[in-house]
Amino acid sequence: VHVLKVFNNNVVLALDNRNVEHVLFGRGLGFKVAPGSTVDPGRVERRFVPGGPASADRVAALIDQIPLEDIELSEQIVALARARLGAHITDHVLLPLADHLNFALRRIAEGTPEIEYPLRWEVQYLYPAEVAVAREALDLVATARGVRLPEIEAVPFALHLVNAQFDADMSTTAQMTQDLNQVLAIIRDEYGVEIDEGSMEVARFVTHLRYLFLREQQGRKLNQTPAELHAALRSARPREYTSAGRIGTLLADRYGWDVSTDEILYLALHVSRLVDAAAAAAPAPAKETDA
Amino acid sequence: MTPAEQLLAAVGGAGNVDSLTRCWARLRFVLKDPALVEEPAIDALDEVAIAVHQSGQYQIALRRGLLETFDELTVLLR
Repeated sequence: VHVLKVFNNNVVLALDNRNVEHVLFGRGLGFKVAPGSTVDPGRVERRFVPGGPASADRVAALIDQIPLEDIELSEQIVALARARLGAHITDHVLLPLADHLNFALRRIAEGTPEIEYPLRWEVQYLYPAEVAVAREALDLVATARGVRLPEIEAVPFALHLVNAQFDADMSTTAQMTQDLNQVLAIIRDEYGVEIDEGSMEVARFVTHLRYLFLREQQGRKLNQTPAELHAALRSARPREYTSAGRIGTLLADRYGWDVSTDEILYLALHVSRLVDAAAAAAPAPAKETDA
Repeated sequence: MTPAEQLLAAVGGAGNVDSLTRCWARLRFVLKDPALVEEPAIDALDEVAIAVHQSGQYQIALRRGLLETFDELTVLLR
C-alpha cells in the first residue's frame, strides 16, 4: 500500500496492491510523507473506500471535519442497519450519515429550531423498515451521548438508509420518494379509493417499485414473461393494465427509461392487488352487493 | 423578495456561487469568496435554522421548504 496524495498530517489517499483507492486516517500518517512512499500500517486507524458520488477529496474533507466519536457512533448505526436491513447497507453510508449526525448534534447544542424535513410524511409510510431502524438509531445516540434528538430526525436517517440501495447521491432518493408518492396518488385518483398506507399491499408495491428503480438505474431487465400471461391479465384486468401502462409512461418520460412490457405486467398485478384491497376495506357506495 | 432571492443576495450573489448542492437538511454552497457572505442577513431570515462554514462549503439548514428553495435557486443560478 503506497501513498498517492497527502491531504494533511492525519489523512492520506493510498493505493493498495489491487489498485483500489483508500482514504486512510491515522494520527501522523501524513506527517512528512511524500507520494509514492509506503504507508505505515501501524498508524492506520481507519480506512474508507471512496465510492458512489463521494470522491476521494470529498471523503478526506469529511474525515477531516467530523469528530472521530461521531464517526464511531455512525459505525454502530451502520452495523445495526446492516443487521436489520441487509448487506446493501455498505460503508458508503458511513460518512454521509456521520456528517448528518454531527450536524444534528450541533443544531441541538446551539438550540436551533426543529427542521420540517421535505417529504416527512411520505418517508414515514413509504419506508417503514428504514424508519424503524432510524428510531433505533436515535435511541443509540441518546444512550451514547445523553442527547435525545427530536423524533423528526428519524426522517433524514431513514433516507440515508434508503439511499444505500443506489450508488448515487441523495437526489435520486429524493426524486424516487416524490415519484412513489405520485404513483400512489394516481391510483387513488383513478379508482377513487382510499389507500391504506400501512397495508401489506402498499408495502409490497413500494418494495416492488424500489426494485424497479434499481433495475432501471442499472439497466437490468426482468426475464421475459410469456405472451399468454400478458393477454390473460390484460383481458381480466384491462383497467389496471392501462393504469400500469400510465405509470410506466410517467417513469419513462421522467427518466428516459425504456420500461418494458414485462415491467408493466408486474405493475398491473400490483395495481390490481392494491385496488382489490382498498375495495375490500371500504366498498364503494355506488356498487351493489350480492346480498 | 422570495427566500431564495434573499439567500442568494446574502451569499454574495450568483456571481459568487461556484456550485450548489443539497442534502436533506442543508443547502450546500461552494463559494468563490466565502468572506462575501453577509452572515447577519442570513441569520435574520426566518427560514434559516442554522448556517455554517464547513468542509469547504457554506451550509444553510432551512426550517422548511428546502426542496422548493433549492429548485428556485437552481433556476436563479442558471
